Order: sequence, then C-alpha cells, then structure tokens
Amino acid sequence: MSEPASPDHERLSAYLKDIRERVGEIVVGQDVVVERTLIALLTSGHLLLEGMPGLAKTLLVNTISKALHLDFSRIQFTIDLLPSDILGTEILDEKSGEFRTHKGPIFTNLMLADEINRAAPKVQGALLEAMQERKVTLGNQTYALPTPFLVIATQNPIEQSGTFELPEAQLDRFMLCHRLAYPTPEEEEEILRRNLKLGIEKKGKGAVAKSEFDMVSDDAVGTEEDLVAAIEATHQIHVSEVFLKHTVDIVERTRQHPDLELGCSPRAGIALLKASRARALIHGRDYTIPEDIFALAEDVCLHRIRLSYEALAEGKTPQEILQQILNDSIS
Amino acid sequence: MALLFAWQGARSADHSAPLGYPIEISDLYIPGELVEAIPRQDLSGSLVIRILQSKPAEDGYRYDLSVYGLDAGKHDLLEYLHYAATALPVEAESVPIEITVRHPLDQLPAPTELEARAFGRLGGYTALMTVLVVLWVIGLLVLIFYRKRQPASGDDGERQPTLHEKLLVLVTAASQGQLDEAEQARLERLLIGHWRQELPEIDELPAAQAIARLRSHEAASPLILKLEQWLHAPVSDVSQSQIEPLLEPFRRGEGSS
Repeated sequence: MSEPASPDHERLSAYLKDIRERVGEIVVGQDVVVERTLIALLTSGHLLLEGMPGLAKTLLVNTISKALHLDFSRIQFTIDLLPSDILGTEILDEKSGEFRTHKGPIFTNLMLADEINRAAPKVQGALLEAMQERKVTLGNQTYALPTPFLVIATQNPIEQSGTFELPEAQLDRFMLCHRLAYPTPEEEEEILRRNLKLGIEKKGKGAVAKSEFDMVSDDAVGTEEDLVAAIEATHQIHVSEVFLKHTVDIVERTRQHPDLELGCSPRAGIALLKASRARALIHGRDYTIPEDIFALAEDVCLHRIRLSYEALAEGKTPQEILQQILNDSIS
Repeated sequence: MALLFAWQGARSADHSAPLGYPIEISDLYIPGELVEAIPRQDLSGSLVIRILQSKPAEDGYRYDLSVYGLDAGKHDLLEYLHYAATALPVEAESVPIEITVRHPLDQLPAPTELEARAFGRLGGYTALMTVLVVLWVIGLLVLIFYRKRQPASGDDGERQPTLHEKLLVLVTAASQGQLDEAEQARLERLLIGHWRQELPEIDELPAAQAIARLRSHEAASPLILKLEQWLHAPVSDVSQSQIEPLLEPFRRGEGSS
C-alpha cells in the first residue's frame, strides 16, 4: 500500500476515518454508503440511494450530519408536495404590509429527499435545478444555498404505482447512485443486539423506548475547518494522464457497447474523476489508481446508461452490461 | 260469310315479331278437331306455342294463341300443332309466322353448348392462415439467427489476439521505453486482467473487488503496486528500470511466475 504524500493528507485521512467509525457506531454494515456520502460531500456532488425502506438511510444521514456538525433536514416527498414546500416562499406580513421571505428546508447542509420519485415532476425539477445551481430564487431575490450543500435522495426501486420516474437528464445530475443491499446475517444479528440494548428514556412522569436516533452523539468529529481542508485536499489529489486514459476508456466503452442505447455522458466522466479523487483521499492516497474507477463505476455509470430494446428483450440488465464492459477493459 | 272473312283476316294477318317477343294471335280458325301444341322433345323447335283459349266453331275451333320465336326466319305455325285426339298433323293451310332480327341471319352467333365445369376451390381460410404462420415463423427465425450471427461475422475474419499476446506486445514496447500514455494504461489494465485470470479465487469476482484483492495478494501486489506508483503517483520513486524486471516474466511468457 502506498503512503500518503504529506502529513496533511494523513491527518485528513484519519479525520475521514474517524467520521466513518462514528457512523459505524450507530449504523451497522453500511460502510460503502458512508464512503459514498463522504465522496459526494467532498466533491460537492449529490447522492441518490436506491433501496428498500428500513435500511437506516435517515439514521445514516442524521449521524453523518451530526458527526460533521452540519445542518440536516429531511423531506418526505409526496404527490401533493409543492416546489414552495421545499424552496420556500414569500409571505405577506399583515403588520408591516410587506412580503417576508420564508426559506424552505432546502436551506441546509445535508438534505434527505426521501422517496424523491413520489413527487410530481415540477417538484423534482425545482429541487434538481437548485441542486445544480446551488441557489434559489424567491420572488425577486436570489439566495445562495449554504455550503457545503449535499442532497441525498432516496427512491424505492420496486414500487412503481403512484411514482414519477426521474428522467435520465435529471438522474445525470446525481453524481452517484448507490444501490443499498440488505445487511448480511452477521450484520443483521449485530443490529438486533444493539437494538436490545437501547432501553427506555424517562420523561417527566412517563417513559418512552429509545431509538437508534437517541444514540447519535451530538459531538462533532473534527471541526468545520477540517471539513473545508478535506474538500480542498480532494481537489489537490493528483490525477495522472494514464488515469485519465482509464477513465475515458470506460466512458467510451459504454458509448460503443451494442446493448446500450445511451452511454455515459461527459458529466459521467467528470463525476468518475471527482469521485475517484475523494475516494483516494478517504483511502489515504494523494493520487488516484485504477481501483478507484472500478470501485466507483457502478455508482457513477449505472444510472446514466440505458439498455437497448433488444437487450431488454433478451433479459439483460444494466449491471450485467456494465460488468461486461469493466471485464472487457481488462482483457 | 262472316266466318270466312274472319278466317281470311286471321290468315292474312302479319304474324311477325322480333326474336323472343310474343306474338298474340286471336280467333285463329282451324278446321277439324281440337288441336294442341306438339310437346317439345328436345331443343330443336323454333317456336314456343301456348294455347290460351279454344272455342268451338263450325267444323273446327277458334284459338287464342301466344307464340314465341326462338329461331329467326319464317315458320309454319301448323307444324307445331297436332290433333289432340289422334296426334295426327293438322291438315289445313299454313299459318306463316315470321321471327325477325336486326342482324343478317348468317351473322347470328350460334348458341354455344353449355359445358359442365368443376367448382373452384371453396373456403381455404385455414390453409391461408397456415401459410401465413409458417412464413411468420421463418421470418422470425431469420431475424433471430441473422442478428446472432452478425457480431460473430466480424470476428471470423481474423483471430483475436489472446491476453498474453497483447501483453507481450506492450511489455516488449515497455522494455524499449516506447509506450505512450494510452499504451501504459492498456498495459496496466491487461496486467490486472492477467492476474485475475491466474488466480481462480478472484476470477469470478467483480472487477473492483478483484483489483482490491490483487493489491494485497502476495504474488500480484509487487507488480500492481509498483505500476501504480510508476504510472499514477505525482512524485514517483519507481523508475522504469525497477518495473522492467517485474515485467520480464511476461516477455518470456511466464507471467504467473
């Protein structure tokens, strides 16, 4: 294993490792999701999580926000949600007779958009536009969103009734799309053991059973400066010319594959590069290596490619095709 | 006298009509016993006679007749009558009937004989559907197999080099310092692919996991890590001369040693 190039990288890697460990104390077996969340945070990207309900997505984001001492908000997307419910609106102040700006829950550092595909397309569009531009216009005023700003959206891949599937152009705005898997039997046992130890909390004359959220520590890991330094260090991670060739090779192969109707966009290549830099920092390196590309390819590329009708008719899946592309690139 | 006049009147009447049109004859006096139309035995008769009414008269009968002509020309009505009681020919003066046509007689087409012909094929829906289904299945099979063969057809022309052959070219070029960056990237990927093939325990793993395992594998990691240092590190302490001994086994075709 190569060594970090400077003590600063070493310190920042240790800082990021501490965050992962802090999350690991509360959330069991979601190391990859934590890593992907940190990658999105360090590269100012956004993360889409696909998975069944009950996989501790909210707990994970909550824990990360507290570990990083960042503001956190959660919005449950529903069919009747309006853009103003997210972005905010102007309210008429009856006393002064003037309009007063009410900022929506998007004005936060970490926003969990739960079941984003349940909202109407205009709401999805409003959120995704704000994600891209990092600013919101309310009335005549434009407000910059806080920094860092990270949206973690979730969607249930199974339920289709009453949902509005995100089109490819909007999916492309998510830097990463990670598919959450169920925990292994060992991890499941650990989850149950921890749950047994939660106990109750007495409040006044009553008591309430504690949840995992009560176990999340309010103490931050490191300082805000550490996070800024980590973001800065991510952008200084060295990317070699050879690594660029690897990236272009993978992206190009998705465009040439006969089973793919839509290959990766240039934005996918940029995302692959940025995410690889963040992953390198998290793993204690000051340069990217092929492992970064191959580890991130599924989360970066899979939601940006579309199978041809013929491939769909033959029962192929995007995962199979992408694995085939990755295997072909090393053979 | 009146009867004679009537007889002469009837005889001298112009019994003429176009082919197929009826000739109505009233009070035609024919002496002797009651007569009737000779029944037709075949299609050779030229007149069709219908006796509408017969009334007794002195020494004979008066007849109302309707006559149709089937053949153009002049005919004698009495040839088509005989005495009803004896079936003997009628003995009286002829009663001429003329059947006229617009065309000259010698140019009239003769009636053609009807020929018995077999009916055409009735129905055929099932057969038609069977043919269509067979054609559809053939078309489908052609589409499927043509599409399947297409990718293969491109490869038939020339044999694709094996992983080791590709590696040999790149390793040889590397030893001579002739690799550009794209070829260096290709060399790195092929070496990863080579080690993945060599180690059965990681051959089936996804590429990302396989690379992670290779980086800590006792045999593979020296080359993989040195390559990373050489190709990706901003300040590399690994030179090409340090890489070459690691690539030498591949040049000799002993990559897994």
